[in-house]
Amino acid sequence: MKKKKQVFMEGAIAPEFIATSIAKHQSKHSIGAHNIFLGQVRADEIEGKKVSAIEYSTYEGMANEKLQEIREKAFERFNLTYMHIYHSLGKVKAGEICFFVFVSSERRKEVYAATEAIVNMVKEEVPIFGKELFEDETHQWKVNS
Amino acid sequence: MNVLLFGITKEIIGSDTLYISVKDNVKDVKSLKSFLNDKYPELKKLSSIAVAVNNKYAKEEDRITIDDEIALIPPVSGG
Repeated sequence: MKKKKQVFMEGAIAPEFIATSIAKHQSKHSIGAHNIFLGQVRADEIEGKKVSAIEYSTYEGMANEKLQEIREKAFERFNLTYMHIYHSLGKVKAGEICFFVFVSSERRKEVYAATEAIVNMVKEEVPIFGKELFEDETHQWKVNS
Repeated sequence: MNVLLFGITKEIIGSDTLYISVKDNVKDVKSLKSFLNDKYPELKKLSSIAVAVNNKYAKEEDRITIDDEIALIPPVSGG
């Protein structure tokens, strides 16, 4: 079993953090393919009001347990060398990155399917709650579709 | 027993946790949901509501006691 990892980080995920994550894998010479999914906050327009940011919160104890299950399932189903999941908490502005999934394998075939499966499981099962903040300071709670 | 609240359920109920007295006769997930729906009708408007017992999604018939960690999980929206 892989060790527990820190998924949640305060605020947006910086492009530099993503670049550093890629660089860290350059010493792992069994890897032949990486795949990355990045979730970006979209400025949805709802009833004439524009989303300016999403404020994320979580039930952290349960979320970490769920994420561990997802990690174990992914390693069982796919031939992966490494996988990383990062998700923002707190306020993330439209256009910024809030979700980062990074999988690595010897060959490319596995990484596409694994990325999609992991992203879907996180979006459907992990207790993370997004509050969409509008430009006029009102809000609504996001529901994943 | 205490029920942990998150997201919109925290907003509807107006607190991080909700104390439920033994007198309210909440014994399982089903009775917890009907107790909360009666007390906070706004909860019924949500597209889904799940109950987690000890960090796991629970079924309607699962029993709950004061020793369990109970949480109300509104629609999840990560990613």
